Amino acid sequence: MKCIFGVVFFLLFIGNINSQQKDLVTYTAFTIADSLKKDANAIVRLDEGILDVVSNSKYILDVHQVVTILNAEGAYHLKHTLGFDKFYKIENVEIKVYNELGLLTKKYSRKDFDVQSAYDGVSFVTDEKLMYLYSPAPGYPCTVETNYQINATGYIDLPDWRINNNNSATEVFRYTVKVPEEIDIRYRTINLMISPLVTSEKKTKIYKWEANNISVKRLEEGGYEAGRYLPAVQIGANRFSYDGYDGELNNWKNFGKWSYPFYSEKKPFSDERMNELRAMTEKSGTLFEKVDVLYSYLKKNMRYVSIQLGIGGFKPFSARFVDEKKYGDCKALTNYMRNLLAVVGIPSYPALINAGYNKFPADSLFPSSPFNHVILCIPNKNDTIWLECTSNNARTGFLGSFTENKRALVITENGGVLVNTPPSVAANNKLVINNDIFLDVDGGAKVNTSLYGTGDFLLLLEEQKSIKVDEQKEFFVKYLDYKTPDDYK
Amino acid sequence: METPIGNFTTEEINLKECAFDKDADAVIISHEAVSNFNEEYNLVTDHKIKLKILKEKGIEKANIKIRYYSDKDFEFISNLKAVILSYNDDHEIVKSNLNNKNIYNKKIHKLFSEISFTMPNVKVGSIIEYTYTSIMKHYGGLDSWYFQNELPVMLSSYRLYILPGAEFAYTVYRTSDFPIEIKPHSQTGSIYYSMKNIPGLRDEVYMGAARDYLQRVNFQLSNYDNNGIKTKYVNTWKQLAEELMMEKLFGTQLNKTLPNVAKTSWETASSPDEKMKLVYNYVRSNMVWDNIYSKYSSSIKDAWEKKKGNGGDINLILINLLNEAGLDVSPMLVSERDNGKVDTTYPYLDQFNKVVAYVTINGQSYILDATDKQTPLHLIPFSLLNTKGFIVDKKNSRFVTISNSKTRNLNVVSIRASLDKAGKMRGVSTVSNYDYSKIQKKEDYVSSKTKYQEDFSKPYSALLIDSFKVDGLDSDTLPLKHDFNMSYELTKSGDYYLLTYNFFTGLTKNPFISNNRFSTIDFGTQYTCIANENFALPDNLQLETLPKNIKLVTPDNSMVAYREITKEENTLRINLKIEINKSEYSANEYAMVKDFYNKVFDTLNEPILLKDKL
Repeated sequence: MKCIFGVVFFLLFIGNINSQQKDLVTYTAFTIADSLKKDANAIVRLDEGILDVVSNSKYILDVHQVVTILNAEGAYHLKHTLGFDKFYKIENVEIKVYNELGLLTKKYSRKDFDVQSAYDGVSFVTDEKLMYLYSPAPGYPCTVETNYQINATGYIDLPDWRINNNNSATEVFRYTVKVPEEIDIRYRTINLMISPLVTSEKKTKIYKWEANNISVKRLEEGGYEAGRYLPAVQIGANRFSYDGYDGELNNWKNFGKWSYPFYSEKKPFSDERMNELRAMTEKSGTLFEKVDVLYSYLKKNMRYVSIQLGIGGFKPFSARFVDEKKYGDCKALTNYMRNLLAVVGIPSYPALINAGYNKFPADSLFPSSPFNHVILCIPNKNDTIWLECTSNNARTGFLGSFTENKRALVITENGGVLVNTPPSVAANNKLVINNDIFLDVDGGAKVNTSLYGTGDFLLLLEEQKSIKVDEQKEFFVKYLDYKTPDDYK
Repeated sequence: METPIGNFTTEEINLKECAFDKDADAVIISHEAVSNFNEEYNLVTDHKIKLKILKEKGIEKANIKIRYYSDKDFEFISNLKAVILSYNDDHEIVKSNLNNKNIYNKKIHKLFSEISFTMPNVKVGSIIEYTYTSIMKHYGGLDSWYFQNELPVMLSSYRLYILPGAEFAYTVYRTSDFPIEIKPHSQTGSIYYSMKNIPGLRDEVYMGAARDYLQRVNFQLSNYDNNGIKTKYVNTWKQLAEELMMEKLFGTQLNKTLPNVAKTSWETASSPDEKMKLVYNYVRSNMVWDNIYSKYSSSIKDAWEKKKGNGGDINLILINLLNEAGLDVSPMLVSERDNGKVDTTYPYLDQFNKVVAYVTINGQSYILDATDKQTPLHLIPFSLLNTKGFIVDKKNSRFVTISNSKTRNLNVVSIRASLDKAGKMRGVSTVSNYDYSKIQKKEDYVSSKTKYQEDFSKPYSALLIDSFKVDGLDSDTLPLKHDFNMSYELTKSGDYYLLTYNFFTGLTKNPFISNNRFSTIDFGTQYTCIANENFALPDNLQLETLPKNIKLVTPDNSMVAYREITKEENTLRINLKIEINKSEYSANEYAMVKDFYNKVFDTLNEPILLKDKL
């Protein structure tokens, strides 16, 4: 019996190799070049995406990835997390695990995944869901093969194809994009010097990028976000349709045109309410003073609650909603502030921005939608005022490290304009700690400490003022390295 | 039951701060609930909650989430209504209702869903009142009633209607300072509990389960199925053990034979100890835990085939195989420290959150948890220290106290270094972490070596380390040993250099900061840190004064620290030792613990002053 089993097994194995050769995919860990293994926890044997842009609202992306995990530090490749929502569906997902020899040990499909709502750490409510699976390793090294299809029925950006070579090296990287000629795409590569092979088939254009043997390059701390340094093929849509809203992304102006209607509201306030608002700023002279009064009103009365639903990524709740409920997300609060200013005759514009201290500014030459936040831009001769409408304690015009020194897409009635947000200088971000030390006879001392700050530090200190006394003391010990204060005022 | 909401008294409106918890951001004015049964013997609970926002920070308490157990539609929430009292721009009172459109319902986990809503127009001074009904399939979902919360509570009351003919018992856990009112009402078969003015319980460092310190009442009821048919009431631990051993989801799983088990590896083992180790590692390396806590398994065969399961699946597989290997093993029900203390007075299974294997070999007992990948065989899992376990056995069921006085969290630092004329220190160091100190560190090391090395020197900003080498990873008994070179530029001030010596002890920031403490300080283990450091000084750097030797001892002698600094010729020797010889301290001892820690940190961080004589 054993003998026959052996023969059958052998034949199957050969068959398997043949089919592998056809796809140029290898599952055994033995064939990896030593040069690629340097600093690597895993080797991506194949990272292939085939994007089929069907129309301005539909695309299908087939993903095929084969990763050999060299040691336990590469175990994060065993965790599979895929996000989806109503415009972005995951289909035909299949995960296979192979041992060191390249023999299949385990196979998973959709039913093995757990599903839960996505929690992005900020939002109170979101539409997005996550499916996740952990596929245990049969030992190291081992190989994980992932196949799935993304079915998008609405999009703004087309998917980029990126090489994550922070901890892993890549043997074969391949991205194919098929697109109807009349739509076409924009493209470029970053941190990667390759050009596509372009062919045409009937009325479809086919682009193909390929790169081989990309070794590990570790990211350093304190730089921009990883996306700035990882090799990638970037794809830009010329035309798109999201949730039934058609738009163009061939330049920033047109993208702004698409966004503008979301911020238009016929009559957000009653006449009576408008009179109230006008009365508030009656005594203010300059434009800045008026802005200051209304911004203070916003900070005092409205609160930030993140609710990302439907086309919620783009369309704010109405100003009327915010006026009644006294809460909103960044879009809703920005839109509300804009409408407050409009009542007193001050024009202002929502500005999309990719916020985060180490976010790389949006690129003026390659329009896309990298934005995660909205602020308000108020033209004021040569001294544009920027307002962060989700804050309850920022000074009027203060942006802070979250949004300063970036590029914001100002959305006007004539379309989008990409402008720089002002950087702050070191002198405006000061933390001054004043210690008065009273020495005792026996060598001990009493220290009276007082702090004041400007810029980001001012926000940090104001935040401290609002928390419980014990937590404030913790801030001194943990953040400022003080010993536990005896007395605290 | 319909009760009108949105009536607020003048006292409530005028309330500015919580008199018995002045630091509170918000206060629960009242939380009243009534649990009753309907024709289907569902457990129907009506909640009515009134809370007031007292400070700016408390505004986020208006974002309300109600979590419920939605697996197999066990529970659902209905009749959610909410009203907020707030102020308009002219400081006049306005009331608004929650719009149903702004209520969101989401599945957030395999087992749980969540209803969330936020109130409009929330300001400091706003009062929110909301009501909802929870309907659970049967009385099996009956949970303890917690009078206390993270926020202070002015009134908390609960009325429970007991199923007719049910056997019923309850236990109250409370601090003697807080009186409780209990009123049985025999006509309606209900019982009413209430407490008043309970301060909030906030998270504290080294706190076990918050619920151990919350004022609460636990219930023990006989089991009911969907139709209200009473099943047998278990009234002793012994009976409970007997029943569990017959239970489909528990005891009978231990009699199943698992397919495709590589038994040969342990069948030839030289000793029972060796055998236990082989079985344990076999299960640990083959099974993946899905992070769900359970003491039951619907089928260990299924889990074994999938190589994945909940805590019950995995440890019942372990017990099954240990038993089949001929070892003396019993299932033991445990409650991790974070899950709360076990009350042995009532045979009440919900108290436990895990089942583990209890093995006895030649009078020596072992506690094995195969969902835990790092703890070596000879150590009790850290999360079970200072708890009680219930051994489930047909003949000899019993409680054991799980504690460990032999092994501790032991750390040894040694530094041999010399200083050059410009105040730069170079040397070699060895840091060894034993037993409980090793477990977490090993896990961190395995998950990322680079990050581990970075984190190792991170607390010491000017310190550079290289040639970092780690040994002892694969040994169960050896410490995790780190050998490396270090260099460091001393801080200079005028002609003086400051020599610091608190390196790699893990004692960088004092964890005890708050003024008061409500919960027991539970370190889990006893603790020792020893540092022996030698610094060879160059001719030009001389000691101004030799810092005093210091010995700190708490009045109960359980915490000891000393610092000894000596100079022989050109070598400065520093010996530090910190010992904590109890693993638990009551809240009453907090002042003593905090005082000791303050002094220890002062001592460790007092630099040695060297004068440059050049």
